[in-house]
Amino acid sequence: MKVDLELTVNGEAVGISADPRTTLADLLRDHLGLTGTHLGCEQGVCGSCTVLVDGHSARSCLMLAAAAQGREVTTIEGMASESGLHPVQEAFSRHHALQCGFCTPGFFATVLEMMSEGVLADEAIVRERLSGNLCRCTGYHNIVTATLELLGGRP
Amino acid sequence: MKPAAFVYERPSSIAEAVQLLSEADGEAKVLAGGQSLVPLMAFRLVSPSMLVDIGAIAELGDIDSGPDTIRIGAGVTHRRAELALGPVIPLVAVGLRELGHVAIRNVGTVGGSLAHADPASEWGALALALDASISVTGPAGERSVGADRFFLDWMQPDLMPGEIVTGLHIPKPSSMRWGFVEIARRRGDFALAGAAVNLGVADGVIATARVGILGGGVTPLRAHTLEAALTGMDLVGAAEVAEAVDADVDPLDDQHGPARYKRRLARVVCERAIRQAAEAA
Amino acid sequence: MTYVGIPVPRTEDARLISGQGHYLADLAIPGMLEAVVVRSQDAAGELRSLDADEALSLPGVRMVMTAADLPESARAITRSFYVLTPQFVERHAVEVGGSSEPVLAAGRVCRVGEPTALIVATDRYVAEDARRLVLADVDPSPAVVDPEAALSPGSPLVDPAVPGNLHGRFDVVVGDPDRARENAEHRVSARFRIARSVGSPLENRGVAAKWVDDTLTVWSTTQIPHVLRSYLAPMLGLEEERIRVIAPDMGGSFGGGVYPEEVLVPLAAMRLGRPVRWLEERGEDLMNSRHSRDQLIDAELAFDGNGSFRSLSMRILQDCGAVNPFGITLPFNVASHARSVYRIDHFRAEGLCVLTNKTRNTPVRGAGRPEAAFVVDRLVDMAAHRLGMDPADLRLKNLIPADEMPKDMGMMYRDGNQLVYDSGDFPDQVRTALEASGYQTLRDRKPRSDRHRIGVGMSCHVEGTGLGPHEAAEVRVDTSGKIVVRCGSQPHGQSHATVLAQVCADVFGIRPDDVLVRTGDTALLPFGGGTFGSRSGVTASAVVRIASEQTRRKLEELASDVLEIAVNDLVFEGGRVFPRGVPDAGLTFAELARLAAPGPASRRPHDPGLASLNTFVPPSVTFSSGTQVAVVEVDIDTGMVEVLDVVVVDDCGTILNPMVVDGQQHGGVAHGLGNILLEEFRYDDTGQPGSVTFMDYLLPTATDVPSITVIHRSHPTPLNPLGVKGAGEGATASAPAGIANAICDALAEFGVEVTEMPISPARLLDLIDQGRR
Repeated sequence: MKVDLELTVNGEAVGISADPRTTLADLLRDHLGLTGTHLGCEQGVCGSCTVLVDGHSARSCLMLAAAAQGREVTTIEGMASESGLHPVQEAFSRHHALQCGFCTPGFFATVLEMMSEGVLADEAIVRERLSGNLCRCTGYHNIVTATLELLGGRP
Repeated sequence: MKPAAFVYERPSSIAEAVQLLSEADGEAKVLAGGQSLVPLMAFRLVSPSMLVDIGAIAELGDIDSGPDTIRIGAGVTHRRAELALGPVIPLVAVGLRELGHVAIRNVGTVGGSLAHADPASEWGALALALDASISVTGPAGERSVGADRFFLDWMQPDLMPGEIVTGLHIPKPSSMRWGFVEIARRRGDFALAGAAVNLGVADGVIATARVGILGGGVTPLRAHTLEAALTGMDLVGAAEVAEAVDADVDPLDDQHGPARYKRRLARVVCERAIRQAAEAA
Repeated sequence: MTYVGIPVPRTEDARLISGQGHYLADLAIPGMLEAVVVRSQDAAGELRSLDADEALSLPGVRMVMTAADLPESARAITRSFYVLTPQFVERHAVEVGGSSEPVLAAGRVCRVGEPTALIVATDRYVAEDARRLVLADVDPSPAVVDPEAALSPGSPLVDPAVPGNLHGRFDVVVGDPDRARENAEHRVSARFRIARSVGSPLENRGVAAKWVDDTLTVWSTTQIPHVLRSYLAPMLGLEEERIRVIAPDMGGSFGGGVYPEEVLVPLAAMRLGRPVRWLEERGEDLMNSRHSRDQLIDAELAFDGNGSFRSLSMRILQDCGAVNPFGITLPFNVASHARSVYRIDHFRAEGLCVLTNKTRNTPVRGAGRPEAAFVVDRLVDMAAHRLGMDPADLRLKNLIPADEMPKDMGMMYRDGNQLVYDSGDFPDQVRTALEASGYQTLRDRKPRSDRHRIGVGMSCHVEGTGLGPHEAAEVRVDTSGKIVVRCGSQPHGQSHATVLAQVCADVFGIRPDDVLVRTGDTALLPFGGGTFGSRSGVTASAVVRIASEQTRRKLEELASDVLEIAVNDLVFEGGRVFPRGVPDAGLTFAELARLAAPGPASRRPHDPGLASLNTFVPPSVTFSSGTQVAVVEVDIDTGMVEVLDVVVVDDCGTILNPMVVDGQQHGGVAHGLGNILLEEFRYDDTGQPGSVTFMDYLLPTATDVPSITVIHRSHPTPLNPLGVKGAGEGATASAPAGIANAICDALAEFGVEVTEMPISPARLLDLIDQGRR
């Protein structure tokens, strides 16, 4: 038995019917072709699948697609605009805050939320907020630098 | 890592949810934020035949501040509670900051956390320290359970089949000194030990003491022995009696630390939380 | 201008920051089926039968493959990842057996997680439903878990073909270690336990395959596409020509080899005539993939009262797991790097490779060097305490001086060449680290409370990098005028597309943007090495440089011919070739490419096109080196450690792109930090794994890793055209030892000596308590 879903993904209305056990991550990746959201552990620890739901960061592996009924989901594919890349995308590249790029989409969601909340550009606070996203390549150094810059702190 | 198949229901009222659960003869599970349940289902440690998603029940999403009590609806997310209660009961906000990471707190709910009854639950320790009660609705109607009596055993809350948690009622403290300290291997991990301390102080002397412990045994628990030791003491120097908590805790071994280590940590978190309470001006 | 040496922004990023990467899980082939692997729940026992009937009857299940369905040639992976020369074997008394890893368990199981069947279904959800329905009948037998007990007489055998569970051994003797030891005034010794850790990239492994027109295409998260192809060809009974292996974008890797799923998935695709994909789960990755370290090392440093090191001796017990395709690689890496930057003329290292009923061990980032640095640098600090010397002073006293380079270390490397430190200035490196970290004043830092202690620690390492046997590249002038680089080494985060373009651009006098780098596909080149062992910066840059020069020569010849100007009078600039002083008279690369195109009018009829395919065979490894200073704060009530600062001084020779190299250092420190403070894959005493989720296997987070300062002191090697030494693993080698030494420094009042990796807070508190008594 499928459930009929209506939600907004990257600004576009989506109507789709899916098996209720489909996670939001699988809905995005397999049904909508938005493969920029990555699955690293499927138990909510690694943070790679983090997206924005109604503007708030959420693990898309821990949310059933059915529970996203009526919500507004933003993924990495929805970040750039016609005027170009989002500042988060630019800052991560400029500071070499990604290597393999697998965890990057999840970090983006976390950092976007921090920016919208106006989180203080303080290294300890930033590290705490980033600590829910794992990265095995960068040692976080350049991610922290890029995030501090985005929050208006030292570059 | 995909859940087994289930029937999905999304009722819009508590009554409807209770009815669905009652009819599903114990094979159904309530889906709140899903931050604990969905991973368990992905591991197929839990494979309910039906999920009753209470996310669309509007009345569960309210935070009501009365003259004496604050009622937090079961569907309120940790993050909302953290931000809303910060100015009123800072102990809650500080404690909730230790609950996972923001992305978890944005989705996980008060009711889900209480019903999951993890021994390392921040909500559990906070509810105990704040003398809160939990409202529950089931086929037989609504009842209220004191946090003291709600956590029965390992991951076992006082919920009958068909019952759901609907809210948490926290008495508004007139004045309190408080402390919250948690130790985990990494930021956001389940606590190895944690303490929520709520002290009523008159003329520098502790008149009432409530201490909620997480990671101290099979459930979140109240440190009765420590509370008794604290009562009547001068606030300054009260941290000295923290080791009384030894009699209250019985931690479990796991690969992040042996029980004896967690016992040590229980003492440390109590000592530091009491000191926090004493030092906060 | 030249591009090698400057922080050229990464060309990889545009895709990756837009969600346009193409990782294995993003592959969408019409009609693709999804596979899951059924795995042994038992560490050891007789596999009597597998009942797949119920699984097969589930709607959507297309196949359940068990060992009986495998062709004879594909039953086991029998090749080993090492070639040892007879001279090496004789010189270091090497004995090592062969290796045979079942593709699917047959008759017996030898570890938890061993594949027993492959299920293929229409989608992942159904495949997982079916996985629970395959029932294995196993008669369990006692598991061999403790490597020391494994060697004792009467132990059960992990592999009936390996007597005494001893799969390999060696004995390295340099100088006269026994006499040097006898004559030394002091000795410090300890038993070091280095736990099993897991590479744990953020992307799990995966394999997809399709069989179309009698040609097999395999996508795999592999570091070695050409090697994988060479494994698959005989196992699947296909010519290499009919196998194409593609390594798509990869979410990290940090170690590897060839895994059973890389054989199973192609077999399933061939059998079903449908594309098949398998995506590993995190629990499977933690349980089965890229296990590493896991050594028990008894070591002793002998030294004189004035602090001069006399001898170092060690016995390395390597827990290999149930099969050992890497032979003596890991313990021998410990032996060949154990003397680090120090002058120790007398040395002995005995290595033993022991089989246990666990996942097979694999080289992972550092691969023996973190263990070596941990052992020797902890011993150095213990010696300093014994003598009442500052550990930094004791190091400075014993460093190999720069004027002794190249330094023959009196033994062979495992490639059969004499082990020679080819370049470097260790004293300068150590002094730089002391200065940059403010070493002298660090101890004056005030801890945050009276329950905290601050400590400073130092460590050094050397690393043989850029191992052979070869790397290949083709450089070609595209008819557009752009230069195309095809290389046999491919990235999983290392920035090949950017860095190899820099190398190539310099040869042609163009911008890196005008170079197109293609990697990760066996269809690009007939051969290729891969990415492992800090080799790509060394070997891939070398071969791209060589092939670029060869292709440039062809351009020169053609331009000289067409323009009737001597080669020496030609200038390359901006994608054009022109006579010196006459920029308007030249030809563009595009024009030259068209002139060289095949056909009746070709100006190069016997060598059409402008391309060169080359290989680079390094003479041996080249040694990079580094020094780290770490500052930690320890909570003496809880045993919790916070790393406050890490300063890295690194010598990786010529720096191709400092931004990329610094990134490797940062990641390397974090990996080493995880190894010493957090990461441990545990088995219980029945061989059941206990760390199969990211809640149990702890990777460092942003709050665990501090800001990292990286300083370069480069001494290019003479062993390759650009003077490059590897940069990918060194920081991982030094970090655990530096942090461990800092912890011991912080806790000197309690006499704490850290000898295990990781050191858990619970264990550290025990050590503090022992010191309190």
